[in-house]
Amino acid sequence: MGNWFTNVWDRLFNEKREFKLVIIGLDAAGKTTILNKMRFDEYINSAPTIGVNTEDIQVKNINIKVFDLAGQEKMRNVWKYYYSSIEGIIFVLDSGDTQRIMEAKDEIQNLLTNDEAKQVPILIFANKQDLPNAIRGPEMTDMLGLVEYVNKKTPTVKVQESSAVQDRGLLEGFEWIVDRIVQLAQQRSQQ
Amino acid sequence: MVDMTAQIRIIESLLRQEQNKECADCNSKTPRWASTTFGTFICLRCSGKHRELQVHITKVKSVNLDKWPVDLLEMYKHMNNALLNCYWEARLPSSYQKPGQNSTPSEVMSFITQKYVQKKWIDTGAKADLASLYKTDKKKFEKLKASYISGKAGKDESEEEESEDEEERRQRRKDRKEKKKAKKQQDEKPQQEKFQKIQKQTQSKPSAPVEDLFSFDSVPQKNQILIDDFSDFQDSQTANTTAANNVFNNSNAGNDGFSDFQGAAGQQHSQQNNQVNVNPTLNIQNLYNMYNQSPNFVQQQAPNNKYSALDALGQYGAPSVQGPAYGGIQNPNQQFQQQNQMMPGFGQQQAFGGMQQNMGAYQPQRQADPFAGLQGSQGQTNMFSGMNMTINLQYGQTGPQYQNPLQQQQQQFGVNPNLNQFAGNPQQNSFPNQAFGGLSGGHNFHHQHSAPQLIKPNNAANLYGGLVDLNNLGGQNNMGSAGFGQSGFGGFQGGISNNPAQKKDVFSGLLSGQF
Repeated sequence: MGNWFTNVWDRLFNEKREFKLVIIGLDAAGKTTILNKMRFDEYINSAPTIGVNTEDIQVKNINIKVFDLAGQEKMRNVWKYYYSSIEGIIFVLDSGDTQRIMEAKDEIQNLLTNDEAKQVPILIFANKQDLPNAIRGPEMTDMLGLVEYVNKKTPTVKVQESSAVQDRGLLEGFEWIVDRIVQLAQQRSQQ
Repeated sequence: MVDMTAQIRIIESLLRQEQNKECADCNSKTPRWASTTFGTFICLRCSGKHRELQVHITKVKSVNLDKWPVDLLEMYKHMNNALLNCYWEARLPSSYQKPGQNSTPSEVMSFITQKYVQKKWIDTGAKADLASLYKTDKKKFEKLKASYISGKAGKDESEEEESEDEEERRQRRKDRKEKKKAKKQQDEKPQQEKFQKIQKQTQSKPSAPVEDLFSFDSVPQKNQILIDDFSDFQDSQTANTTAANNVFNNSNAGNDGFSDFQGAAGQQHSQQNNQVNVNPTLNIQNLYNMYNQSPNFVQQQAPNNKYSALDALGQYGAPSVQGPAYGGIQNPNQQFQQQNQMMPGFGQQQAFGGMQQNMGAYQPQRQADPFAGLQGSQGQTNMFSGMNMTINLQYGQTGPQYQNPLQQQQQQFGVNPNLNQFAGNPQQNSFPNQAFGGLSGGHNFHHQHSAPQLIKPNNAANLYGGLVDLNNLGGQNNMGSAGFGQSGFGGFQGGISNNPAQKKDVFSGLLSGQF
């Protein structure tokens, strides 16, 4: 068991392979803030993203190139063009914005039915858990209709509570998605 | 949901209102975002601050990147930034300086927090702000709105121009309505009337400072003259006042910056172009007026000087879209503030004395001051340098509205005496005493370079700096105003010495700034 894992890791390093992730989500969910937190380890208040932010981060010694896309409605059309060239998707939710949970749910459903997106692990950050009225993780999973996905034997969807301001849950989330990407790559190479 | 293009068209028409041309929370010229909770239009930077307050306080939408629900659009038709600030800034002391281009993010944040979260300056007489009244109690909303409007009605000065403006606007709206359903038509009519009312009351603001730089005692009513001459070329919006024009131009620059993201802004663009073509002419006219009114001046100094300057304006200023040539001239208020603030090192400084940068009224003695220098030993060139500098600065000023850090660079530029470097460029040296060798077009650089020959090096630097800037910038302004600012200044800071290498720096700076 440990053997194949090392193999995979070795191969990753030897090939200097780099993961690509995309961060999507409704506007003002905290996508750029999460990326800044991961990249610079500090909380930076940002203006709305126009276009895309790209940063390189390291998780578990793996280089990850992260594309942080804008979340305004008109900009959501471009999300799908990234799905074919990335290894994982991070979807960020504003847990305090209860009115737009359903809007987010629609976007997540689009994601899960997209042929390319459903091939890769999807991490959902229930962000802004520092807000008093934030919806907690399990409840969020339920509201988003993701219970069956999350309870799979080897789930490719995870809902992770997070707070970029308090630095909660981010690393866990990123580590999960990296593990899952590695695992999927390994499975595919076995086949 | 409204069709996206229809939505953008509606919002654009709202943004064209004079009251919506500034961000509600700072003085940025092109609000492209909206706080839908408060009903205001705000700029990108402020929208970031609003988002930080979280959605339970304020929700932010983009004007052109988000879809707006119909009722939200409807709400925005009933209010505008100026009106809403009657509530939110009712008790804001007049001495209080709202955040501007130079403000740090934390200053903006603290202002917005005080304004909306701590509600420090709200109108305590009102039960709630207009936007929430609109949602809960329409009658009270109308009442409060009427009271704000009537409270300001006394300041109304520009009704005639306004009515013309309204005519045009109504026409445009009619066109739009034809495309819409019949049902929608009935809804909109009463709203237009309300709109007009609001519009009248705030429009007077920008027209106040129009008594401008060139209104010597001997040049009365310059504005009217200009407008008469050129009104054929102007659409009704530009016919307002020159100051209004200026505002409009500024905001255009902003639109350009973001137009990549706009689907349906084309209509607006064509309008912009109209204006832009007209304005440089106006300004050249300005210059001529000035000369006509002060003949001494022209005779004493080489007349060539005049022409070359006009040449430069004509050739470089005119084709440029945003019009570095005239920006400064048209809005003396701003111009002087900028000048004063930015050029402590120049001759004019004394004339400006202790003028502070404030948004207050433009006082008569200040008008005269900049030209006091003309009669003195420094003579005409000094005047030119002053003019050019202001043009220059004004031009640069359009940039930072999007990128704050640039503003600071610009200021440095203004202060920087290094402009001397221009006086000593190779071209100039090759025509040592030939003041304005060739008047014919094409070699504008020569004209400009030769200009400094007439004067002391220091002033020459001013002059040249201004002109060169004008030139180089003429071409780029359309989209890269921000880029321009940066590059221009980066370059200018390059060096003190007169050697050609420095000049290279200047231009490379300009180029690199173009993105």
